[in-house]
Amino acid sequence: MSKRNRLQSLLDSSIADPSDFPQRELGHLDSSLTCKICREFYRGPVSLSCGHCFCSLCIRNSMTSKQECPVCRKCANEGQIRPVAALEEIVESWKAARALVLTLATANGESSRLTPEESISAIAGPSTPNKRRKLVSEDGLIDCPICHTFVPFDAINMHIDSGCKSTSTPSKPKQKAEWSKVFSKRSKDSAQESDPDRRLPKLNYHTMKEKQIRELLSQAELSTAGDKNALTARHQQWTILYNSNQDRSASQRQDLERIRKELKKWEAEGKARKVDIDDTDEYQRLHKQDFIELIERARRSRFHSHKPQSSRGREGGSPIEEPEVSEVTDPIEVD
Amino acid sequence: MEQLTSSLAPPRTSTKQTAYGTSQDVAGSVTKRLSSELMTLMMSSSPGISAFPKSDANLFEWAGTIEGASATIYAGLRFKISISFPPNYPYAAPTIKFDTPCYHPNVDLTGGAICLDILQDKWSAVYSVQTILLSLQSLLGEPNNASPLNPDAARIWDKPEEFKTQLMRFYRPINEDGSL
Repeated sequence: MSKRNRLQSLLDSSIADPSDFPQRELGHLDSSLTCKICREFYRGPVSLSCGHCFCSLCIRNSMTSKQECPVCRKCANEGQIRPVAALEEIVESWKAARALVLTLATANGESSRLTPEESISAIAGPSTPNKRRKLVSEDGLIDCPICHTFVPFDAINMHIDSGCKSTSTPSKPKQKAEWSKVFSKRSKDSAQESDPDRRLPKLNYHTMKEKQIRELLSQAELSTAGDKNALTARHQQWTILYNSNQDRSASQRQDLERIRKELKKWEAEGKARKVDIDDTDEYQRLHKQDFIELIERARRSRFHSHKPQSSRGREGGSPIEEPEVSEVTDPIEVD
Repeated sequence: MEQLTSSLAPPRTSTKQTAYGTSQDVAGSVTKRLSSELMTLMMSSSPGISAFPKSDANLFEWAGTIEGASATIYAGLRFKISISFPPNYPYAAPTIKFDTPCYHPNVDLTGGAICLDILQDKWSAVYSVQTILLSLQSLLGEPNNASPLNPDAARIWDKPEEFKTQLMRFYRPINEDGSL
């Protein structure tokens, strides 16, 4: 691990958290758009027959160990998984609007009420670097709310309709090409699969020969190293990753190379959790100051947030004492 | 995939280097989820419970405290627990044990193991450290005497005075510096 410690970088990376919002209602809205499993904004949201929604990847992973809804425990299986396109759209719009809403909300919560003119200037004005862009700039370009590229104002609808693909002004020949694409068979432009929405089927690996699984893997351009168990696990996870990607709308999908990378990451994760620290006690001593700072900072930001909160039940010193634990029981694997 | 490794990563011999480089993204989703939980715990006001990673180097090992709820026999007593997250968290439950000796029908007095369904077969990926700690807190006041891990404690649960004596015989308060 790098010199910069992990906790620090995590806190610095400003994780979007519902508590960012001073207003309780906005916090609720924010958290209602997050998956209950990974606690992040839904990625490729799907619903089960009980109506509960999760990221496609999260619920597919969860189903490998338990065929039930994690929220209500009703029986569930892969067959019930249905993409919820509307929710995906809502989440994407909210993600795009979140920073803006947050600025408005904090401005509203902190200072006195803004007049309508002022609130407009809060949108367009240079309050934060993020918000510096005006909605329509002088040269008639507009910031696409979805992909954040600048698109001619007249072409914005077409740009969005095309799934943020066309970035230039639609010229006649291009328009023609677009139209012909609409009228001709859609499958033509997707080179890799006959059906772009295809899902990989669930296989019964027990009845398959090692060679067959290996073949499947090499067809998908994946590593064929390892014994049958490793191959099975790899193909199983590949299926999960692939299908969950398919549950996203076409504009949100990642290319296969990216999914292959993710699979690799997952495999490393299985072997991983290597922490390259030789002397843990020394490490703890060394970073004690960081802990104290982090806690201090977390506290400060807590008190600065204008959430009406009751006082915490625990006394001030308690989190600090934890890193001090004298006996380090965790077996840190040193590779 | 093999080709990819060889083109991007340094030569095969330096496997350690690879481990370094990826340690941040490896387990990325788990770390992210854990840090989100940490954030929630710090931001929310849940009286009587707290938890924090034991060391900065390893987000998978946490230490926590639970205070017995008022109007229960455990009122005012603080228990130190350790939480250990598996690499496939939250799809598998964390391992939790009491570090402070806890005389309770569903807790192993010496080892600190806990018998609680949501930590075993009833685990769900939507549970979190916070929900676990709250469950443990309520378990203290409402034990499940049907499946005791400490049969003696289950037997005398209905005799509060006797129970309290036993409880206090084994209880050791947490020191100021967090050690036992």
